[in-house]
Amino acid sequence: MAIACIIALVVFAVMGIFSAKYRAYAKEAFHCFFNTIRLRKCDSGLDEKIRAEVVSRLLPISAPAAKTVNKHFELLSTIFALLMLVSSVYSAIGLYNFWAFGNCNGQQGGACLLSDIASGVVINPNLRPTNNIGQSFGAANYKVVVYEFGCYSCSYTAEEESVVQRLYQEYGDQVQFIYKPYPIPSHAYSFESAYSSWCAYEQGSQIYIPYREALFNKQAEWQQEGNATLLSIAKSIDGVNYEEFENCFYSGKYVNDTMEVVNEGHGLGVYATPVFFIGDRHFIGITSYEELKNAIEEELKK
Amino acid sequence: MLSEKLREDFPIIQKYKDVIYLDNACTTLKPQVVIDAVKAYYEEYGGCAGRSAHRLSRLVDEKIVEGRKRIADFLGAKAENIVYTKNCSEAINLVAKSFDFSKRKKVVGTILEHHSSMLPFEIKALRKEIELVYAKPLPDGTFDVEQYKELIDRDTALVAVHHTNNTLGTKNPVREIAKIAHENGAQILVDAAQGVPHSEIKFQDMDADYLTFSGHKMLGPTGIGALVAKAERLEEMPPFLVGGDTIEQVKTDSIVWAKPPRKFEAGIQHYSGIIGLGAAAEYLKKIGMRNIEEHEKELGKVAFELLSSEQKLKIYGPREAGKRTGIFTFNVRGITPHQVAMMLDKMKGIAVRSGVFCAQPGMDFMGACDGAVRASFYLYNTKTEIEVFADTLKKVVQIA
Repeated sequence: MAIACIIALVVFAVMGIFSAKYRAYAKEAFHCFFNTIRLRKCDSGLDEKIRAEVVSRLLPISAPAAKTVNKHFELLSTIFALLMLVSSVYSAIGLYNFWAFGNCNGQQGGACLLSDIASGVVINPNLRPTNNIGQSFGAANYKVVVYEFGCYSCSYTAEEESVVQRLYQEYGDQVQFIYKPYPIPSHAYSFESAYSSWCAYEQGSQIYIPYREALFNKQAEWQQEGNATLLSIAKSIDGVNYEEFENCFYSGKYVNDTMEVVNEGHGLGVYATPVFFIGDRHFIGITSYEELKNAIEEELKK
Repeated sequence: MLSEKLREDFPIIQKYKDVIYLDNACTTLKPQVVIDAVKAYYEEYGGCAGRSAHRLSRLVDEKIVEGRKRIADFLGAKAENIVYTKNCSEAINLVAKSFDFSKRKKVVGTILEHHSSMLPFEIKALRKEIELVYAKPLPDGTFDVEQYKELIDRDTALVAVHHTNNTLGTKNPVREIAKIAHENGAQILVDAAQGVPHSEIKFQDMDADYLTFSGHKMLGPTGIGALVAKAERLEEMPPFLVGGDTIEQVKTDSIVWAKPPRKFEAGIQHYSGIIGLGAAAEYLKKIGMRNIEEHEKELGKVAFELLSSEQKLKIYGPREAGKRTGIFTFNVRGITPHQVAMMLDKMKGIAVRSGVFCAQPGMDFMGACDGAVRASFYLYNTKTEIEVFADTLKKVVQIA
C-alpha cells in the first residue's frame, strides 16, 4: 500500500499547510512511506483508513462500484499516483515557466517568449497598436487592420505565416495587414533579420513579400549561417536592387525603426510572438485560421 | 429486554445520539450516578482515608469502607476479601508475583486467555520458574471439563483461567474447574474481567481462591479494579507493592505487615475510583445482573439470527443460542478487520473493536491471525441498535 501512502503524503502535506488537522495525517503518511522505502511494513493503518473512507462513501451510492474500488484499490491508487506524478511534473514546469516567462506555457506553448520582459507581464486590453510603424500589405482603403507582432526568427511566427497568407489572399482587398518585426533577443539573428526585412520593404511589396516568405521558409539556414545568408536570400529575389539592399542592411538604417516597434510592443505588454490585434481583441501564439477569420468578419460587420 | 429508559442515565449516550456503542468488552459508558460519585470525592470529601484524624479524612474513610462493602455485597464476598488494584491486570500480577511456587510449579491456563492473565505466568515460564500448560477449546470456543481433569494434577500449583472469554463471550465452567483444582491441592485464579460486569457472580459459591476484575468494564471509573481472594490466601501471600499503609510496625530491622487487605494497598488509594466503583456496583445491583445477562443474551441472539446466514461472514464461537452471550466476533472475507470497523463507524457511527483483542495466541489458535471484529453489547444497547448494526454489516459484506 505504498502507493496510497505516497498519495496521502502529498495530499496531506499540501493540506497540512492550511490546517493542523492534516499535519498528523501527513506525518502518518510519511512514516508509512519511510517504512515502505526501507522495505518494512506500513504499520500505520493509514491505507486501511483511506480505503474505508472511500468505500464507505461510495457504498450508499453504488454497491458494485464500492466493491470494484475495494477490490482494485491498489491498482486505482497506482493510477492516481501516476496521474499525480505527471500532473506534479507539469505543475512544476508551469510554475517555472510562469517565473521565467510570465506564463505557464513557456517557450513551447505555441509562442516565442521574450525572456527580457519581466515575468507576470500581460497584454493591456485597453491599448491598441498604432499605424505609425510596421510593414503593411493588403487593401489601400481598408476597413479593418490586422496587426501582427512577429519575429522572423520565431518558429511559431513562421508556422502561423501560412494562416496570414491565406487570410491575405481572402481579405487582401478589405483588410490591411501590418506586420511589426519584433525581434526575440535570445534568438540568433533576430534583429538582423528585422533590419533586412525593412530593407526589402523599402523596395516595395514585389520584393518585400517574396523576401518575407523566404525568411520564414529558410529560417533555419540564416539562423545558422547569419548575415551572409540574409543577404544571399535577398540577392535571389527577382527584381531586387541588391546593392541598395546591401547598403541599407549595413547602414544600420532601420535600427531606430526596429527599436520603435520593440518599445511599442513592450508598452502594449507583448511578451511573445506571434501576437495579433484585430479590433478590440488580441490573440497570442499559434492561432487558427477560423479564429482570426471570425475576428475579421466581426470587425467587417461593424 | 431491559427498558430503554435507562439510556437516559448515560450522558455519553445523550450527547452522541448518532453513535451506536458496541465496544463494551473494551470499556463501558458511565451512568450519571457514577460520575456524580467520582465528582463528589473532589467536591465534597477531599482528604485521605484511614490516616489523618480530621473530619474530612474521616468522611473519606467512611466512603471507602462503604464502597468496599458495596463491592463485597455485589460479589457475595466479605469486605476483607477485597483488595483494590488499579485494574484487573494489576490484580492478576499481584497473585502471579506473590504466589508461592516453591512447592509446586505447574500452572494451568487456557490458550484463549487475555494477555493480562497469560503474560504474568508466561514470563515466569520463560524464566523456567514455573511450568505453564494451556487448555485448548473445542471448535466452538467452549472448554470441556474433561480436559481440565487431564491437565490439573498433583503437581499443579495454580489454575489461572477466565470466567468469560473476551474474544468469544463463552463461559468457562469455573465452579467445576475449581473443584478439580482443589481436589488436586491446587488453587484457582479466575479472571472475571468479562464476567463480573455481565453475570451474577457469587465469590463464595464459586469457591475460587482468587477472582479479579476491572471497574471500567462494569460502568465504573478507569484506574480501579480489585482482587477478591479467600481470607487465608491473602494471609499467606506476601504483599506485592509495599509502602504507606501496608504495615502495622516498621523498625530498621523488622516489618510487621498490616492485616489484609491493607497490606496489599500501598500508598494513597484511588479514592474517587473506589467510591465510583461502589456506585457502579449499586447501579448494576438495582437493575439485576440476571436481567442484564438475559438482555445481552437476547441481543446476541438477535445479531446471530440476522447475520448467521451471510456466506461471506465468518462468525466465531458457538452456533447454539444458549451458549452465546453479548459478544459477537466475526470477520468479513477479503476485508481486513480494521477496515470493517472503520466502515461501520463511518457509515452508521457503530463503535466496535478490531484486532486481536489482547489475546493473540487465542486468535491465532482460532485461525484469525490478522485479528477480527468484535461487537460487544451491554445493558444500554437496544434491539434497534443491533438491527442497525446487522443491516450495516450486511452492506459492508456486499463489497467482499
